[in-house]
Amino acid sequence: MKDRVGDDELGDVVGAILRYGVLLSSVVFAAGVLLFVANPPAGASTSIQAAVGAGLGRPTLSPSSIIGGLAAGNGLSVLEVATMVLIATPVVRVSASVVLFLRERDMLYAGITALVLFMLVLGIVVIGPTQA
Amino acid sequence: MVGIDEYILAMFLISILAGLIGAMVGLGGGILVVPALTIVFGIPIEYAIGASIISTIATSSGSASAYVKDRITNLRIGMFLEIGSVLGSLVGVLTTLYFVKSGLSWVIFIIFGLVLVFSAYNVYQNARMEREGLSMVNTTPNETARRLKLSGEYEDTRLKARVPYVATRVPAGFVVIFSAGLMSGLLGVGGGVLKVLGMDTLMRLPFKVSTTTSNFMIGVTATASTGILYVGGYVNLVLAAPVALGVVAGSMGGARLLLRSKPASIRILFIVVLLLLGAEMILTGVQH
Repeated sequence: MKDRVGDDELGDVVGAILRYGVLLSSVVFAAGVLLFVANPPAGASTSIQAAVGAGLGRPTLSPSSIIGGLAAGNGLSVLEVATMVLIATPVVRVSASVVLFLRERDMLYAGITALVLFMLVLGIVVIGPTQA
Repeated sequence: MVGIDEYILAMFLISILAGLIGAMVGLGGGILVVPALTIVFGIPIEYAIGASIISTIATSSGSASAYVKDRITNLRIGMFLEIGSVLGSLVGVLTTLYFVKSGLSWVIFIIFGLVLVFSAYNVYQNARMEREGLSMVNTTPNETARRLKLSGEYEDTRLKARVPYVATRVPAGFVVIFSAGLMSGLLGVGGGVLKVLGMDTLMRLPFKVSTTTSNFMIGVTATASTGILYVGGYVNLVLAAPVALGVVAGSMGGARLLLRSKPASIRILFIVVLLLLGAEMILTGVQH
């Protein structure tokens, strides 16, 4: 029972991160789709199968081209931001859990959540680039 | 051949339907998205998986926030088991990409088809469990659960009582959760069916705690494979956007409808759809 107060805070923080993360990404996704349909980029007049084959809609993974695309009103750049917000949401949730468990001095769960965070980051930073 | 605008509109509507029905029968909508993309639109399965898994993060996280707020989700059990599900997800997505690069995509079709058939059985089984009442909940303390703090209690609104519980058979449950992660990474689905099986049947947690905690874990599990697929270039933004928007909208609507109706006929419809899609996926794989 001693953990009850801390766990309530954990629940509130985790719940808020998930709620606002998904809300934000959904709004950005919707804006991106509308922008993409209203202002299609070059190569968008083909079939969806051909477009995927040609790499239209492939993430650029480049901050400078995303920023440039946003400034130019490119729907694909907006969609890339939406996707990144969505992927970041659970990562932020796990990171916040590590911090809250550390503050509660619950070293066991700080370690458990840190291990999960490590695997997530390993996938994105180390394993992902080898699969391109 | 389908034009891009037609694809966006059609897939948005299909995804709303998938999310709606999925939420009403207790499965994520993701399980319908990959067959729709591969069978209806002829999208290569690795891109279908990339689009589907994105929607899984959104639906899981969106509904998880509500259950976390209601204090039904057991955060510690979820976070502990995430070690297994995330590890499984990493192995699963690497296996899928290995199949794809080795020209063995047909294997993924067959596994997916079998999972669809199994899910049809599971929907039937869940309906029976809800009719026949509560599953066996363990309350006897054990050393593993004590050390890892894998216990809790929740307010059951139907019984109007606090239900205490203690996780049992933790190592076996952990292995099943790893398999659930494997399935999630391999096929681009949430894997909730296996997660619930591990927590409800093996670890003897209350059904409501199992389903909400499973749902809580799905977002992080899916993020592990999504990170690799995204950086690897398999998450196509045009493919994924209408799926993410549609499934989220549909599952939010489905959760609301669920509160009002007992969807027996929808269950039967869903079982038929799962079986048909399963057969189609298996046939596609066999005829490669």
